[in-house]
Amino acid sequence: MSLRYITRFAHYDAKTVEEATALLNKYGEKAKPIAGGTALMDILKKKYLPTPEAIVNLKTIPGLDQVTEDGGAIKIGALTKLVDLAESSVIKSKCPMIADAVNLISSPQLRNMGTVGGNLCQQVRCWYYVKADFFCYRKGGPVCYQPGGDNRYGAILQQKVCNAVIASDLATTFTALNASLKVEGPGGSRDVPIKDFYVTLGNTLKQGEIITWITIPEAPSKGSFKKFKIRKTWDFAVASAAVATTSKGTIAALGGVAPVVVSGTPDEVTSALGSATPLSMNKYKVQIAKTILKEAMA
Amino acid sequence: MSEEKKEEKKEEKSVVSRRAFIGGTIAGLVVGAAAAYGATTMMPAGPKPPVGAPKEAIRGKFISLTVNGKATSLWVDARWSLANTLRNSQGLRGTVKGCDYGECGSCTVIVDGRAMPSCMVLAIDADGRTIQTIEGVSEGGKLSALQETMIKHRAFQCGFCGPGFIMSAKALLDKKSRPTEDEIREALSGNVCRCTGYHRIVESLLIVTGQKQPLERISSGAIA
Repeated sequence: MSLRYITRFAHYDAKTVEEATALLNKYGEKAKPIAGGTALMDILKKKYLPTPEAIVNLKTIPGLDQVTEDGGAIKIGALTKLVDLAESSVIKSKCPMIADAVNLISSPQLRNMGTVGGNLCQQVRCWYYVKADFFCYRKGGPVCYQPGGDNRYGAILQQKVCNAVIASDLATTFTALNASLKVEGPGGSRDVPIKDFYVTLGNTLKQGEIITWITIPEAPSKGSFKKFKIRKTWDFAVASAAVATTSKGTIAALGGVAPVVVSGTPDEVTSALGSATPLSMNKYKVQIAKTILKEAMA
Repeated sequence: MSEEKKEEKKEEKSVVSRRAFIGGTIAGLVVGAAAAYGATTMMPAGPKPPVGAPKEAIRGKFISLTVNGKATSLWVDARWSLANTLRNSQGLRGTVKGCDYGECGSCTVIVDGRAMPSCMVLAIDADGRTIQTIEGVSEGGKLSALQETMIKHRAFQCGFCGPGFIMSAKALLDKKSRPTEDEIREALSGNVCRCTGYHRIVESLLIVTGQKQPLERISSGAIA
């Protein structure tokens, strides 16, 4: 069998969240959780990140694959498959913009595998990052290759040390919906507003922590998600925009333009785009982002 | 003279030893193959965990699968993808491997009623699942209506992507008996055909669901 691809690792089936977090904490950086596996299998085969010593299977944890309505809030389990999220009656009736966003993610086959938590925690798709040949800043290397290289899909906003753009469409959608994430780890659980979850070089999950629930505090009265992609069938976003209006106001969020989701009131986001600092090859993305934001707000 | 003899002897010796070596290798191979063949029924010793690894770590385990209606129990290494396991351990070579990264869809199988690229599933994670491969689509040794229509309508040219397309199409038709053209195109969007025969593939699905009349020269027997 073609074992030349994948290096040996230990495999655990976690039965509870506590077991999973304890295992992930024990191995530290050298363990990776697996749920859908669509991103991790890529890492195992392409080896652009070191192969973990241990893989903790989260799919065996029961109860985290539900979408429920709790008062006015919508609670989504992190192990919900993307296809189940899109087909959920709660989502269809209360918040169809999530279903719209999910149906634009990847191919139907991969949506049958991928989970919500995995989508939120996925790696960026910068082509220097996902190649084993390049040891870029995000992987702990000396420099980001985008400014001096081919940066046509790079960031146009908030470039500090890394010019990769956030790949998750659900991150954009949930930011517009002002969601909060329940994060469980060895030190107990905490709630993180999704706005504070992402940082330039990844997310704020500490060692051993996993996302267990996503809570959307209020179903929007009006909301939409738009995505621009190069390939018509399925692709990662060149720019994506989500706008949601609730009783507390309107939040706009832009994905695919910066290492983190750019969010705020529609005016704030528009003015942020006005002062964009594109790289040498991606000036076109500014106009695409402006247009996609306008479409989402319409 | 004596030196020559010596050399001859030496050569003979080396020949013998080479023969012995080859024989030994063949015996080893046979034993190895027998062990691999018997893997479905008996438990091999299994790979040893490296020094320093925690004892409870699982490097591979017995899983039970229902493949094409037949329940099997087999030992899998934790690293094996479902595609590799089906092809090499179960001998179901109809599931072809294209890109091996879940992008082309040629390794699509139906897992618990849902189409998935089997190269992206770890076999160890598929424990207890029901799997249908292209070998399970035909009914009683006869091709299914879907396959028959696709062949008659020349949906495939080289045919490498065929099993993947058929499994994706079957997963759709199992759920919905009369999908619209948009739904068909959406359901097949994870499959790539390098001959770009998409039009005929979608058309044959419309024909098999009774939404379109087959071309006359095909239905009359004179194949296009």
